[in-house]
Amino acid sequence: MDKQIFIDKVRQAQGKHNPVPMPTFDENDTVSTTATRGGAKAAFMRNFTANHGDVFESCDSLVEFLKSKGCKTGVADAKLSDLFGLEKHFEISREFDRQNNPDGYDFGISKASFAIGENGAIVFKDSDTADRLNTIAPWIHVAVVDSKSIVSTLPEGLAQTVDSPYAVYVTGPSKTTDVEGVLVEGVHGPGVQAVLIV
Amino acid sequence: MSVQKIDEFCKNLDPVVKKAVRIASIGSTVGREKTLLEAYPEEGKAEHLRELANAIRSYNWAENLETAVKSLESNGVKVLFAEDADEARRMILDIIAKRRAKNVVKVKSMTTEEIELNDFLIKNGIDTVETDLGELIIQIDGERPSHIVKPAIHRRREDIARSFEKHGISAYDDNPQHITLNARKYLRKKYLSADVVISGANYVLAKEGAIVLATNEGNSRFSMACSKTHIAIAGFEKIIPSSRELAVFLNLLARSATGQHSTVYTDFVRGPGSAKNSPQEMFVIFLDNGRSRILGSEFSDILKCMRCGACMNRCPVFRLVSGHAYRATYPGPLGIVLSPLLAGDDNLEKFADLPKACSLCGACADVCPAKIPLPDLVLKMRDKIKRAHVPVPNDINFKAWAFLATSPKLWRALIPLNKLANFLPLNAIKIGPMGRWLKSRTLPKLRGGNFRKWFKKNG
Ligand code: SF4
Repeated sequence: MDKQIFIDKVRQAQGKHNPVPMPTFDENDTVSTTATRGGAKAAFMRNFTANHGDVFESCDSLVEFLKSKGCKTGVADAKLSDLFGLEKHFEISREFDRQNNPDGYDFGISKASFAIGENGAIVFKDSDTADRLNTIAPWIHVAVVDSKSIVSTLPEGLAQTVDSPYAVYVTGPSKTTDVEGVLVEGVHGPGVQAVLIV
Repeated sequence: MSVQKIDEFCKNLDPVVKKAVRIASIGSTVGREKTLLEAYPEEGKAEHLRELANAIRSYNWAENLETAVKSLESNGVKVLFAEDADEARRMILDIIAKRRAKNVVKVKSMTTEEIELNDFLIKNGIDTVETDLGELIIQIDGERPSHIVKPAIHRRREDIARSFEKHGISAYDDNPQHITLNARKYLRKKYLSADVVISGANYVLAKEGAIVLATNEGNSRFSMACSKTHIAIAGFEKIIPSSRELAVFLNLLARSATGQHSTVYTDFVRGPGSAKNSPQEMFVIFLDNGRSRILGSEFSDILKCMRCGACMNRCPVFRLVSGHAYRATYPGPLGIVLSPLLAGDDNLEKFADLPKACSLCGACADVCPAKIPLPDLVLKMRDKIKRAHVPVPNDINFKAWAFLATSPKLWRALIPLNKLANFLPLNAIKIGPMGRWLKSRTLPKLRGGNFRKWFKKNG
């Protein structure tokens, strides 16, 4: 259907109603005081953990955790410049081999663009990610979050989200309750979603 | 007198399914209440948010649509317009065929259910796979979703495992954890070989020219990591002005839908990707399919629906009868209003009985995050159907009663007869609707009928 005809049909139909002015609202109208309590970083850690995400503040504890999960191999996103010594403990590829080895990585590690306290979300923008598969295909995924990049509220987060071709909020392991309401983690994406705060 | 279709369906429903639907619905309702209160303990704050969600989408769709089209196009998205389901389906097939693509992965979308896309593509030789676990479960058995958020709410683990076995997805295993893992393995192959991903859109941001998708499983991100072409289809009512308003909706959507504070994945797609594994081209198809007609009618408020499912979770009728009883894409209070509207005035008859499956208790309006006055709309729909004089299937015949009640003389003459009711052997009626009705009720002795006499003397 022609674009103009389509839009005109909508306009005509909408004209049958009295116009309602866009409501004005303050950003704080939407912000949850309980979810943002304690400042950006504390809120992020609390809310991310509540969604069964794992938080690490030191590389040693992360290495230990990955070893305890039986990790041997990993894939690190090409845009992540520092591997924090992980390469000493694990065999790490710098490129996701989609053709030959899509299930061959015990964990993936990528750089988060930033994080949000209020909803406990890590944000991956295409502009900071070389390959989307690193974050979604391995069973364990680690996001490296710069503690200075954590914002407190969702409106603050939204204001810096939609400037890349693609961005995604991730608040924990991939999950479903589609079979009789039973919670199962690790559907398509990571069953373990961790962050390393640096 | 005969049994209504919806009652008939309920009567034949497997008791285990009945119980599952009830438990899941109540669980979501309780979760909604809990998470909203946790997030907004302040008096009136959540209420204010709902009012905003309603007002933000009050009759500015044409402007939003124009802005959205411009921004999407400048982001490199090809924007198309479909008048109805048929046109949308053909557009999608055309895009797929031009690319000689054979494999399509789907991200759960009620709009694609509405236009019955999957069957159409499969008939045209395109391997089309639902990637949401619930949608996959019903797709392989050729079923329709029975709930807009939990499409497989009516299925038991044993029969899911049997279907997986039958369709070669995995050997029989009815442990939910294993069912999920088996689906993971199966779908992974589908993702990696997919040419095209088709999604809906939970929201479209006009100013930024982006579509927003909310999922828990991450199938959206996986699909959009692998395919070369992304097609998103959305009714024009999904457009909101900008990401600033989105905060209102994101804070309501997951809490209202499943009692989570937020969905696990929220994707913002603004055009072809720039990462290595990402779609190289993106299409957005805006769909009318009756929406402009609805917008111009007294039912326009229903377009503010964000498809959260709270109204059906809360509905005492839905909890008893489950989604398939409503015989359409959208069940529950939402479906009662929307199904006859989407079907159009020429097909009103098909859903003419639905508005009766409502006790007008008002609970749906109390929980709707967009503050849609659902009970008012149900009443308007009853009225519309009545005025259209369409036959209501299996309607209970009140004609004799109506004749009596509108003939005062006859009515008065018959009043003394009502005392006879005391002598009727009502308990002996064991069959038919009267029998069913009386099975659980006992009539008190009738002592009335003397008011008129009394009034004449004392009034
Ligand atoms: S009508 Fe309201 S409660 Fe029902 S699905 Fe739509 S937004 Fe949710």
